[in-house]
Amino acid sequence: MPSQHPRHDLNELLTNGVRLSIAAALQEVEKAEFGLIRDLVEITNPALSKHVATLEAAGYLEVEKGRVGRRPRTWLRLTNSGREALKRHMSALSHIATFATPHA
Amino acid sequence: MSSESPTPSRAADDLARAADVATQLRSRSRWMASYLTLFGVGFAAITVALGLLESTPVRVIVVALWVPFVVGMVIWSSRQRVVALKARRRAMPYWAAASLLYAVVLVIGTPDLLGNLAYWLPAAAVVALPLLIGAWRERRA
Repeated sequence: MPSQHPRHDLNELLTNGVRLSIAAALQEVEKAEFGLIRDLVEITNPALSKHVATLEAAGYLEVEKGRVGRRPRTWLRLTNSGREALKRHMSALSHIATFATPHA
Repeated sequence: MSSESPTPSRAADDLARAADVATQLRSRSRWMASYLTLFGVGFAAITVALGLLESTPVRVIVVALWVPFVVGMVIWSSRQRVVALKARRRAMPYWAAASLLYAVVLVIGTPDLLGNLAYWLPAAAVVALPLLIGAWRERRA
């Protein structure tokens, strides 16, 4: 039976370290504020906006805009599709890190 | 699908970084435990106050103090920057139980047991208990 290298299960979008961090950070929460993710990932607002737009276009992320008092707030939420993609990507990384192949 | 494979050490680094940011954000989402604890204590305090204070003006003052407390808590929760996964859904049964017990305690204790410390202190603990259990479980979630 032919074996498939785990790199085939890697998600092209999530091979970017920043996007992987954004998705990974959001995987265990309902939603988080844009500024908090920016500080956590240590990037600028425009850079985060760009990565968020990419993930949103892929259907991995939802952006919710609202207000708290007079202050505008932007919330980021990982979609089910994003969670699945992240799970597969992490599993592939895990196999690569341990030199194992998922389909022996 | 990717045509290039990261090295095992690069993959391990990616996994470690992903786990690190996930842990950091999850730790910021623990505020629901404090929220439930404070409301539990607040519920207990107002139960005792309404049960033991027989003067109507003082009771009115206590209720008047309860309103800004609730408003303050709601504002505080709305300002949190991260919401834990399913935290609101998890908290629902504890809110329902505390509210139901509060109503039951008031119905049983008013007016016959007003001023009776032996009734109102345990009653306050019973009312607070669901929210304190919810807070404890939220810390462990």
